[in-house]
Amino acid sequence: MMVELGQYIPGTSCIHYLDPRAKLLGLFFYGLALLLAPTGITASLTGAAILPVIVLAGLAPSFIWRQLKPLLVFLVIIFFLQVALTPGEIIAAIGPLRITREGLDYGIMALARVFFLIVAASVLMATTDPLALADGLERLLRPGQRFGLPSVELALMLTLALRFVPTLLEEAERIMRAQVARGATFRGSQVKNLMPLIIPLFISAFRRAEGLAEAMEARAYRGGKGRTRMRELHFKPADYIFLLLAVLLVAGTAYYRLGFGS
Amino acid sequence: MIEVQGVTFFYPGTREPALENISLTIRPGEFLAITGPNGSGKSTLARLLNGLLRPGKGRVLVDGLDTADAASLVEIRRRVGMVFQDPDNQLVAATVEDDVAFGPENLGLPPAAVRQRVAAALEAVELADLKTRPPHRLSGGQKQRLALAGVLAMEPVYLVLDEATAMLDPVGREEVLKKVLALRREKGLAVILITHFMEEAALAERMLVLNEGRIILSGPPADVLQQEEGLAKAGLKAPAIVALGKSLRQAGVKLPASIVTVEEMARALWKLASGK
Amino acid sequence: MEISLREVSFAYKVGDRPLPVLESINVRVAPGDFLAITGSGGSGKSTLAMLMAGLLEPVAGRVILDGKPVRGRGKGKTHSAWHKVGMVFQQPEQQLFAETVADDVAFGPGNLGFTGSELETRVEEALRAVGLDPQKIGGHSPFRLSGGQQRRVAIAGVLAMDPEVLILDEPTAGLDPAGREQVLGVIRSFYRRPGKAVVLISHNMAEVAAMARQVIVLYQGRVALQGTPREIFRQGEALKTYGLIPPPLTRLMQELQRRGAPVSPEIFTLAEARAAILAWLGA
Repeated sequence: MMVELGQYIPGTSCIHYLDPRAKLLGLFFYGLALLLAPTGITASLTGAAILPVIVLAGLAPSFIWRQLKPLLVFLVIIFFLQVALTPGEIIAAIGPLRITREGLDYGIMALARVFFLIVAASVLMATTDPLALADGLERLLRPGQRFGLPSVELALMLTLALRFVPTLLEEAERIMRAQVARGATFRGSQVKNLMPLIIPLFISAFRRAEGLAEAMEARAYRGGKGRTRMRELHFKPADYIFLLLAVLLVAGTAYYRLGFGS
Repeated sequence: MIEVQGVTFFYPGTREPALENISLTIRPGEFLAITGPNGSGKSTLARLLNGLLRPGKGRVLVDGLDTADAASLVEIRRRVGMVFQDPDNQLVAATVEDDVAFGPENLGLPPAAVRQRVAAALEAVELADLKTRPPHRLSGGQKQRLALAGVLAMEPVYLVLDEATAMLDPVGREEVLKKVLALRREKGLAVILITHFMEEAALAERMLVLNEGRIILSGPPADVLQQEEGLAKAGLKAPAIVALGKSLRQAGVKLPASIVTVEEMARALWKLASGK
Repeated sequence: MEISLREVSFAYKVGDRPLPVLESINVRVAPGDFLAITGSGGSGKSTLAMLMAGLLEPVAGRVILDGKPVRGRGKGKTHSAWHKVGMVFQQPEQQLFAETVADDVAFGPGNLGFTGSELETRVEEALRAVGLDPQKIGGHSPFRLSGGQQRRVAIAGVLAMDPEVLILDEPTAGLDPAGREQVLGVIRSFYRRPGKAVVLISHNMAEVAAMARQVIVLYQGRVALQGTPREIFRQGEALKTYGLIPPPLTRLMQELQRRGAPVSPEIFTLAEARAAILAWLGA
């Protein structure tokens, strides 16, 4: 019951106020900069650019922690794999594990890239209404229509997913309870034990998809062709400034990557 | 006017027709109820009216437009709005107002016009206060009123309700039905109510009873609901008020046979009692 | 089997704040009882059903089975006592999953440890109890059946566990009149067996009046009214405040009474209504 979708936290900060397209592009540039940063330290410094955004967005520090907690193990594994598997100058050895200078640097770099990208994506989700996000994505992909990219359909799929996740979660919970009432335990790792949950959920999802397709058709939907949108998006000066900063970040890391900085 | 002319319909891979040789005319502004047991073809008939299904034999014309003509389908669907049974399967957007906008957007209206229609439709179903709410946080009755708003925003001429109240509680059902009837009065919409609640069908001007793909009874509810045998054949029973009326008439009480609702019965009995 | 809820409260957590759903509920169901729980949407009916079936645990108060306080199903070291409580959810056909009708019905008793011929017997009896022929339909895919049949198969899946208390949440919702009658018939014949009890969650007051001996009306998470169907209908117009719409004949009596006719608002059967009206008109 009462499933709250996503991590969108409504607010009135200047980050909330930015055009979703600016934020999407910003995220893209930020990710590019993280990839271009050539060392652990530059990647960390590049990544730190998200910190003022978090402050401006009025998000609590605990916000970052909550996003990362489920991924902690994954991050630790990435770090140690890089540290352990990179050959080079040995600076320490713990048992059979040899830590190299290069390994440590790669480890930090990989960690910084994944860590900050997740944080930035969470900030985007937290400060942008999912609908606006889908709208923004549609507009950004619109030029692709000429090359056969179904941008309207993609955006619609995204909104439909947003619309139906809570409904299907509620349904999953109800079906699970119904099977528990029939003595199911859902214990053990065998897929077989999950069938009483998975099959009804699939059937229901298909039935819903069918009903939905029919309902959309009945409301004169015929694909993206001829479809207009109620919501309009406008770039404001703040959006240009934000994008300029993001581009500068890419330029900075590119500068280092090309070897001018070291 | 919607004209259903000699329509027979088979679902792919079946040998029994879902509908057989149905002819029917629906006038603008009319209130028609269609009843029958599950599998009688009610929902199939509904889907033929707006071109979701095309007849195998015969024709369906909506204000002269043939549903078999693909070029007319958008206009047909604008004219014939449809509210389905399951509230959760027909709401497509993540907020109330975006959902209402879906139809007008598909019609290709400019953003300002879409906004205006959305506002008017939400006003009409009294959901304007909840326009930014996600649909899954609405009650059943509210969800169906939202679905209704989505249809109204396309400014239809005919409104088809395909068991739109079947999943609601009695309060939700009354809430939706009252709204539909008010809209009919205000906007002159034709209402085609598909239901297996006899109490609801009794409110219509004309009712049809379908069984095994054929129309077995048709006429004003006051007449149709007297036909116990025909109703029983379709697994249906007259509403309690009609049954009571019949029983009282048999006991010699002089009640007109046209009484089908609680209010009509109360009024008639009161008149009888005070007439003495 | 006796289920007793004492001062039970329940709340969902939304974010960090609790959202109260039920407050200080006392309910008792013993063998031979037929309890209807009614109320408008959002009154907490379904939540109460799940608490009574051990599928949710209260945030305050106690759930007592046969005199012993217990935790929810599968929680702590709960014994099999909950297996004597069967729960039929809203639209139970949505929980069907097995390849054949018989396999699906066998799921519950199978989980209880029944095998072989004993399991088969239970499956067949349960299918017959819902008016389906095990020979004819047992090998079919449940997904090929009509909506009404699917619902009865789902109910058979619960009956096959041989519950002593059967809890049903809106068991007739969405069915056509014939389907409704069949499901009500299944419930009636279960109730007729000795030692059984039924808890029916329903917003259909005609059904409640025709089936139940005791009625609880929930309103905003609290017990607003409690009594026999007649005692409930005696409240007349007040029922509207609780979001309830009485059956048509009761509404007629209430309407006549409001106009000043000397008739009782407790009436809900055709014979009673006829007698009351004839008596009034004859006087």
